[in-house]
Amino acid sequence: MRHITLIGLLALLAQSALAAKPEIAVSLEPKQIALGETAQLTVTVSGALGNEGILPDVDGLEFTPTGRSSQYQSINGEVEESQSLVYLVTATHAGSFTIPALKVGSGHDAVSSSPVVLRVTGSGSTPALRAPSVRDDERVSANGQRAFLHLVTPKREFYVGELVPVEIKAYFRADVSAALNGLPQLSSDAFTMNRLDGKPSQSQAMVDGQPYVVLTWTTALSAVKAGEYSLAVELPVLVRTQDRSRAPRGFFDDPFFDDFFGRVVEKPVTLKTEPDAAKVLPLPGENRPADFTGAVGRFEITAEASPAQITVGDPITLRLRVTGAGNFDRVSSSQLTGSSDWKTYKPVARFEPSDSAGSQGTKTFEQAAVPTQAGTREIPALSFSFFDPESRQYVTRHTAPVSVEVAQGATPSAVMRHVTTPKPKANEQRSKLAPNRIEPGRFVSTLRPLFLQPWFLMMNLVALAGIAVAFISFRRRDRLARDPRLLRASLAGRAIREQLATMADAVQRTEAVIFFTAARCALQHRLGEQWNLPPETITLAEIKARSNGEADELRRVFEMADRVAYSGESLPSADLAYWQTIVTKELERLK
Amino acid sequence: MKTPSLIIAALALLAAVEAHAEFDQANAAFAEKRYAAAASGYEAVIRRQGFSVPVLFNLANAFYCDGKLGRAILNYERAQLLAPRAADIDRNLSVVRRKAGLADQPAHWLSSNELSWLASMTLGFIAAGFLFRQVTKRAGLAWRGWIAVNACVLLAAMIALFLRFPQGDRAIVIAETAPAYIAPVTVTQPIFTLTEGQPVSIRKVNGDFLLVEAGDGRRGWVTPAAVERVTPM
Repeated sequence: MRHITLIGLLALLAQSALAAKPEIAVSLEPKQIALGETAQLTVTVSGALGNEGILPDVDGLEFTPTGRSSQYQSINGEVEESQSLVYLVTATHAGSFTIPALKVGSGHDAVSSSPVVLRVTGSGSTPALRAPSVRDDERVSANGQRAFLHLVTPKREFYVGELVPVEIKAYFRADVSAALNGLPQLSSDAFTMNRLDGKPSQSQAMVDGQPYVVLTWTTALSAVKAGEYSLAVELPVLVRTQDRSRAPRGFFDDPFFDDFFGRVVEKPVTLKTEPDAAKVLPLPGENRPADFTGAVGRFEITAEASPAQITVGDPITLRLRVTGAGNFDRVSSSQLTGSSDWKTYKPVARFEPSDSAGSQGTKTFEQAAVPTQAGTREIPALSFSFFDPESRQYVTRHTAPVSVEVAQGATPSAVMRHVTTPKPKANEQRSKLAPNRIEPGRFVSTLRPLFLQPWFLMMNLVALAGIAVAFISFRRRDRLARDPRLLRASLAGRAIREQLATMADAVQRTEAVIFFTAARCALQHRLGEQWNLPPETITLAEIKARSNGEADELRRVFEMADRVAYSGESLPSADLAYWQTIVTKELERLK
Repeated sequence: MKTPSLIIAALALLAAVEAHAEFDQANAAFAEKRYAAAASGYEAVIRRQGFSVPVLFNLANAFYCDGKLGRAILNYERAQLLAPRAADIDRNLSVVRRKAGLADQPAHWLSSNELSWLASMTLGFIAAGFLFRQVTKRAGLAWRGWIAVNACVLLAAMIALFLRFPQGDRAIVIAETAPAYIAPVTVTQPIFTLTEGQPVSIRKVNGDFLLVEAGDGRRGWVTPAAVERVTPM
């Protein structure tokens, strides 16, 4: 029942399509191939069916049909069908081939396509490093495999660090449905491989008479250590297959619905190349240049400086270009070093590959340099050494020295103040910005004014306090110098303080002689100040004469002092304290 | 005691070396005409090591070449705080001000810091004079003259510092245009617009607004992002 329904639907579509005016379109990709490669010819016919034998014979070209597809389109109720026929085109010899116009339909409805031209080259141009030949494909044999991996290398013997361009080709027979599950990987740690593109180039090829889709990664590998190793590549893929294990199908028990509903399972598979022996040679130790940094290949270098005329302090850009083929990651420059003439900065490197493998191109080192002195300055020759695997010897290239005219700057910078040259004209000064300073100079932690910084304020406050103290001291000294009485009072006061301290000490140690000597001395200073007499002239007789029978306590102190002094009598501490009280009271009374 | 000092000294030396390397990198970026990167590099040096005349000067040059005239003037003026008589700073500041359509402003002959040091030195000389008198007990005419001269210089320096004190509020407009409002709100129409690089004085802070006074005496409220103090707080 279901089959009847489907057949009816297709019949209706075919009937509608037959009624439409036929159209034809022909496309050829690519337009140019090398001998041994294939191009894809797609012929799309709409509105007319059943004209499969439309391809004419072209001398030197072979057409292999690989597929056919149908499309249906409904416009305003009218269904139009178009069919695409896909052919692989191979050439038997190099040359230019014209596929003539294809014709479909008949009578007034006949239409023709435009002729297309296919160019077939004998071989490609030879790059500096020999890329794998496309003819290698001719040696590929499927050995009955529906999918396999092939590594194309130009050589099996190379040096450590040498970059070898390779092609990794994954072949899938046209009827195999597969998807990539990763990128190709080397199976040995003795080699490294340049970055691979996630989108390989795609082409068709005939292998053992079968059409294959070929995915190609172009890259380069290099060996990291010397020795003999097995070189192989692996590629993880997912192969889509029909799942026949499901049963029973039940109501939709028809293989058509298996296809329609896509009962497809993906199976992970790893494709591997046949292991290939590779011999890695060590770099020779003899005649190795001192500046050799591991670059292996063939290179040329040039140097230039721009601008050629500058002012002192203005930067110039020194460009060293290394062009060629090899391991550019190991290419480094012998940069210009600082001197009395030049202040230099670390160079910046930039690599521009000219091939997809990254083995050829130009590496540019840009270094900023600032002249520190005026005059004709020369940038010395720069050198670069590498190992040439073809000649099997080290090579050193040199650039030519570059002369730069350096005019004196408008204003001297910090590092060039010793240069004495005429002052530039005013308009010249005004027209251009003074150049950058070269040295970073002395750093300060803040831009706040010094007078607002605590440490500075504190330092000056200390100095100010010192001045104030000194000033007050001088003022006092001057006053004393001008007034003898005040001076005497001051001296007496100081002497009395000293004697009182001696007395207190003597009471503690019960030394009566010392105590009374100090007591008498203190009273002498007080009385001398009062009576305007030298203290040493104040005696007991003087006191008696001036006191008119008063000042008994004073007399008693002096008498006791005489007695103790002559007799050496000792008194207990309590007595000395008593006499201390008396002396203190007398001193206060006389003040 | 020695170990912490050595560690501090080593860290300071390391910071200085790194700052020097950063300064060189910024100079290299400038030489390669990557002015924004150069400015970032110089600012990183300032954050790490502090201010210096060459770093501020080169930063200003980078801003000028990057078309940021306000920030260029700001950093030239900062450099001028530290080196008021540097001819290259004066020249570049003049170039940038003319490009920004601003009038030239003569730099002070002595910076605030130099005036501060002058005042401090004269104070020290006066103190030394008093010490001399204390020791020698002599206070002749020469001594009085010494004290008088130093006191006069000290007074002059203090007056100059006092007059320059309001410049602590000096700021530069760093936005391309800075509308100034009559009140600290943006819902009103601006009363005037400040141009990039124009110097102003910050008179008051109110929330997210600053009251600034332009050179012609006009006052208005601007957003803090529009201006930056010459002397960072």
